[in-house]
Amino acid sequence: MVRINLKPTSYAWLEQLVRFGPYIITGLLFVILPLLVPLYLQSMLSKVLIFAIFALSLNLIWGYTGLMSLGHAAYFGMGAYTSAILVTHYGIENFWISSACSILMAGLLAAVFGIIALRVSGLYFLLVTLALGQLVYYVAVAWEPMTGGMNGIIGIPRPDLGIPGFTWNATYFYFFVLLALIICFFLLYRMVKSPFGHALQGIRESETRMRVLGYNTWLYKYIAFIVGGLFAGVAGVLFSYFLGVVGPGQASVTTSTIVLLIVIIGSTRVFWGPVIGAVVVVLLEYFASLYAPARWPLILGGVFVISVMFLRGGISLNLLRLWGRVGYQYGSAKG
Amino acid sequence: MDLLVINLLNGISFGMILFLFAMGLSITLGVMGVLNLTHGALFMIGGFVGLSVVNAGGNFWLAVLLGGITAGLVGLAMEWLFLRRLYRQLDDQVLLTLGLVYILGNIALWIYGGRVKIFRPPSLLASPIAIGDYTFPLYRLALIAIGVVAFIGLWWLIERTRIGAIIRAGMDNREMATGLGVNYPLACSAVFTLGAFVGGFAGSLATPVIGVVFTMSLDILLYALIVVVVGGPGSVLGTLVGALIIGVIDAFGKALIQDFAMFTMYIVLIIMLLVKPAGILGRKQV
Amino acid sequence: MEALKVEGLSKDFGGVHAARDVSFSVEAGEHLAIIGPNGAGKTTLFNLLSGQLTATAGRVYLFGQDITRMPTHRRVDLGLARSFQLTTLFLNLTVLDNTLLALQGTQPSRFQMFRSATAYKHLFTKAQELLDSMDLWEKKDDLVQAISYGEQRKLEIALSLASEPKLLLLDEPSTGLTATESADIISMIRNLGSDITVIIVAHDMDLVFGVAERIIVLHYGEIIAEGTPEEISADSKVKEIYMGGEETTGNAQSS
Repeated sequence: MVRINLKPTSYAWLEQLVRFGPYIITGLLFVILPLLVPLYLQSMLSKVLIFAIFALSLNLIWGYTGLMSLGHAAYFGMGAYTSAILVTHYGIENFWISSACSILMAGLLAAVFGIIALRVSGLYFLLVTLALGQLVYYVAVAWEPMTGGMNGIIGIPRPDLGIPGFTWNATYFYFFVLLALIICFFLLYRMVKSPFGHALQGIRESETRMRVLGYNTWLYKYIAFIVGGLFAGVAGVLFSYFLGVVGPGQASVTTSTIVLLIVIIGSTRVFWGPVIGAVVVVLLEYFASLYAPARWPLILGGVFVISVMFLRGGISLNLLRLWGRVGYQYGSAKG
Repeated sequence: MDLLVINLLNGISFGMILFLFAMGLSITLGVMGVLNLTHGALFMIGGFVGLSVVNAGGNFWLAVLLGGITAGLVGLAMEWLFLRRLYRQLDDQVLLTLGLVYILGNIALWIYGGRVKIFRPPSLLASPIAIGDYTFPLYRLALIAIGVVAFIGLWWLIERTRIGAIIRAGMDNREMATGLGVNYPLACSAVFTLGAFVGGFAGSLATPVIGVVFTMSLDILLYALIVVVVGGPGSVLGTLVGALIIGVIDAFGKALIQDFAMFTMYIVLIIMLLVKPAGILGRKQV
Repeated sequence: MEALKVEGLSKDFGGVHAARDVSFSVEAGEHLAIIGPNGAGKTTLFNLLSGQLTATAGRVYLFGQDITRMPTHRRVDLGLARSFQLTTLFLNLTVLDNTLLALQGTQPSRFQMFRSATAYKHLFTKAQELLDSMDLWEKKDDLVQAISYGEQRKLEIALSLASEPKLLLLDEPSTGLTATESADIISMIRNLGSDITVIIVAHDMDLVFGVAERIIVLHYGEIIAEGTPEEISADSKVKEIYMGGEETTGNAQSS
């Protein structure tokens, strides 16, 4: 939220360092880590980043606007499928063209679904978004000629950036996705700090009050919904290149559930919360796949229950509070 | 013509199952304002417990009863441990109950494996009866009869007894109902448990007809949600009407179109939510 | 110049007539009070005026424009503003953030998606003025849920003034406030003068008589009396249904 700094002191630089330290360190970590880590783990890191983008997109409509959607994977799947179809069926290999189209398709889907879903609120909004998401899933399963049915689409090559002589490896791909995350993070951050973003939070707190203050709240929710869909589409496109295959699971309620978990674990109240959530959940999934693959839904469910009952506000919020206390020693009053 | 009757009877018997199952959801939603996504898992638990009892040599009716009781106990545990702390926090209810669905589904997979299982109806009801050129299972007719009896019982309980009146009052105004001299939270727990029992009972009864499998929780829940939305939360008659309508639509849909089921049901749900969220006979706007 | 004209306004909730054929008008700059026993339909009337509810019959004109079917935010564009009986503030945001959001509501910048909100310095200055006038500036960084009830009520009114409205609807502005706080509200409303048309719904007779130039009395959704404060206090009908119960409905005057 907005803060006015009224008294800069001579220790301001130290204060800034303490405040921004963790962010800088984390940022450096994201850049250095893949170089330190064995190759087979690098792909897991890419997955973290992709789901971070996905989760940030959900948090825009959920954490900031207050709209919990049970079908956000629909746009993720739309982005993934469109990208896969354009590349494998229609031979549109150029990454820039195919990804732009795919992201737009995801946004278009959100535009259509948004009109339907925003006619209702609360419980019914939840159910409608669930149903709409499932519709996409069933279309993906049934429209075999286009989507490959239950088997999906396979053989998606690495993106063709149009750079002559460039070949991919896992590390390059990681940095490619990292760049995408940085761009998305930056764009979403600006949006959230803007008057538009503040209005979204006002709507979350009290839509009645916002209306009476002169805001066309439906329009705000609708735009947020579409933007959320667009960025989910970005994540979907990246995922299709990451995995090389796309299946109906990408649009299923299971994927919608996982991204929900990522957001609540990370925190809906902190902008970068979803990124932490992605780290935690993808790591969990990785360890589960090593030691108890058949029990992953059990672990997933358990983490949900624990998050709701005990981890109020998410990891990031609690981290911030902790850091706020530490920072206080150095004179910065607000964490 | 015979085929028409058969599909109609199929639809009505399935509708009766849905009615029993959806009642639990309807009351919980209407009374406690809680969206309990695990209700589908209770249906599944009823089916699996029934299966275990029958496989252990138990009597059919005992199996069905135990299925219901187990589901009732699980429901009670869930309500007591988790749901009563989340009154009116919709987001949290959804997340929590979703998590429980995954846990329960995976446990079912662990214990029973991944394939659809059924057990046979009692030999008394096993023989088919003839309708025109076709045969129709007597068991399904028995389901219809059970449904009617259950409807009368539940309707009487909700609409005609003091407990029912207090519950209905609580649907409209929880604070007031608490002041009526009855331990309202206890009444809520009792009603919730009854709903869970009936839901599990329905799951058990349904197993000879539709089988039981670890993935069914959310699918059957969807049917119940449509029923509750169509019929209106909190209304016994509404739930029956809604269940019969959905059951019949489902039966005819499956007979006419190949890959009918879920896709069309989701579209029905969306249309109902947009057009008439309070249902046909609904008494409460959620 | 009529600020507000209401013609035959009715609201029917499937059998419950919350408003029946209500007609009245308010001149620009006038201060009007609407009173009536609990359940008389006062808040319903406000909801019809601000757009929270749609009328089943009748028309509403704001400065000559038919706003009967207009959504709330467009009415605000035309100069309407409202405060609520039940505090409707952004509890999890700071006092300052509440005010900034309110000020931004009628600004074109509210659709800005990329520039930071902190770039709009003039809004900060206005927020300071507004909060100062309510003695709330010291609490600017406090979360609304942490400030006292009286301060919340003052903020509620401050927010409704943020858009520099031409017609202000205040719903029970002094309910639950101490005598001193109520007196503050009374003088604040008085000071608005004839620049703003004010309609108040209130139970507090001190407030009503301290502020109103004209009073309308509602009962079961109908207007049963209309006139100057002197006329109303002398009206026998009104005395019968409302004033007679003043001891039981009055707020804390002796505390």
